[in-house]
This record gives sequence, C-alpha cells and structure tokens, in this order.
Amino acid sequence: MRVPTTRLSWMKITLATLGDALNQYATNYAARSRKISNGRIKAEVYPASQLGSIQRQAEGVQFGAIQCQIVAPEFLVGIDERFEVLAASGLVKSMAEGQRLAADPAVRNLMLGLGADKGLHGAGLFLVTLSSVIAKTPLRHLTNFQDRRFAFSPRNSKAWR
Amino acid sequence: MVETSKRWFDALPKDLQEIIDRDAAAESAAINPFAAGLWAKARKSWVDGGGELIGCRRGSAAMMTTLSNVGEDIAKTRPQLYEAYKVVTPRLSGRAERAEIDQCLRWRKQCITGAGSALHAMGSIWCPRTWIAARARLPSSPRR
Repeated sequence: MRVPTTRLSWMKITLATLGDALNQYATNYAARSRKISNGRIKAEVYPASQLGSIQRQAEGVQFGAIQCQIVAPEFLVGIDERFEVLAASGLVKSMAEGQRLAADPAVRNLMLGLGADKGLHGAGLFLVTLSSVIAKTPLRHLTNFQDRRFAFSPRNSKAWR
Repeated sequence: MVETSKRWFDALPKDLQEIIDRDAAAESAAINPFAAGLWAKARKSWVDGGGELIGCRRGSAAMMTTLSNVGEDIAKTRPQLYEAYKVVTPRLSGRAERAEIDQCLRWRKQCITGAGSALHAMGSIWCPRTWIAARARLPSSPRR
C-alpha cells in the first residue's frame, strides 16, 4: 500500500514556443496542477526552448531530468514513427473537426500510449492549429507546386516529406 | 500533446498521478476556444498584411483529390504508421453526416413546426422546414 506523502514534486514543463496556444496551455496547466494539488506539485514553465532543442527536451523527459514536455507529436517521430499520424495531409478540414478528433477516446488512447515503452507517459492531446503552406506567390493549382523548394517542420518527419 | 516522464510519473503518489492526468485532459478541452481564436487572429493578420488565403476547396478538383489522398498513400508504405492511420481515420468517417446533424441541431430553435426535436437529435431530419434548408445548404451531403 502506498503511503501518502507531503513531499513536494517539482514539475518542469518545457516547450519550444512562446506566446501561442502551447504556451497558454503550459501556463494554465501549471497553475491548475499547483492549485488542485494544494501546492504539492510545484510546476514551472520553461518556454522558448530554454531547456534545449525539442529533441534534447524529449530526451530529458525520457530520462526523467525534465518532467513534462508540451510538443507537437510529429516532433517525436524519432521515438516512434506513429507520432506523426495526426500530421497527415488532408486528415481534417477544420479546427472544429480536429478538436473533435483529438478528444476522441480511441485517438487519445493510441497517441497517449505511444511512448509507454520509451520512457514517456502521455497525459494530454489537443489541437493547436492546422497545417498551412506559406508561399510568396499564390499556389492555386498542383502545377504551382512544381519546381519549388519548401522548408517544413519538423525536419525529421519522414512520412510526410 | 503533453508527455510526462514515465519514470517521474510512476514515482508519484497515486493521487498526484490522477491530478496530472485529469488536469491535462481538462486543459486539453479548455484550450480549444483559445486555439481557435488564435488561428482566426493569425488568418486575419495575414490578410490585413496583404496576404491571400487560398483554401483547398477553392483550388482545382485535382489538387483537392491529390492532397486528400497523400496521407493514406504515404502511410501505406510504412506498416506501423498505417496501423495508426487506420485507427485514426475511422473516427472521421461519417463526418458529413455529423456536420449535417450539428447544423440541424443549431436550426432546431428556428423550426416553426416544433416537430421532431427528438428525431433531430437522433440524426433524422424529419422536420420539413429544416429538411429543405439542410438540402439547400448542404447539397453534397448524402441523401437518406
């Protein structure tokens, strides 16, 4: 039987961005955890890759040096290629549809369980934004994509390259 | 998504583990309006700055067809990924019907006959006024 303890648990929450939905989530999550646990969870947010690049952050979480990472799943494709399934082209047509998909129990179970044997425990899944192609000149037809170079993120995503 | 260290999580007392999971799930739902607002704001900023938004629907039919098939075509080449893809995509099947039902439920208040509320909720559009409006607004939805 586990004995209740009053020991404080520090939770460093790391993320790569600043001033977006991920950052807002991290701030809200930290505040909520502190409040609900009556201060037993001491959550601190480290935005803008203060704790290293996304890959180093993920390694930190796997080894326990960092307690929590908020990240787009496709950035974890090096851990398991299935992490990039939700970045598939044309999967959803609107924010509302994407939000419904992220809340679907079957999808949550799949995504949150992916890193279980790699030192990760999935806790939450939500939609930040839809993918966009940004170009200097309008891309109205498939032929407009021809002979153009595109930078994309994440760099190590193989399936959608 | 939110990933925690399994090593750290497993060492937490049970009640704190529940808090971590429950709060993450609660915040995952609570963040949706903020994310949607930010998305809309970003699009508006793009247009205000002289940019143009080109949706797939406005593009050619060939472009739409090709882009919508890219995900499955590529996933098929990677067995593990395709297994995950097959879990995700069925959750989207029938989305046209779901959108139609959502629209129908939104129009229920406007329904002058007042009939068929329960049927609307079940997904059957029996109210003549709503049925006509639904057909007019959603020409591509499947006929029942």
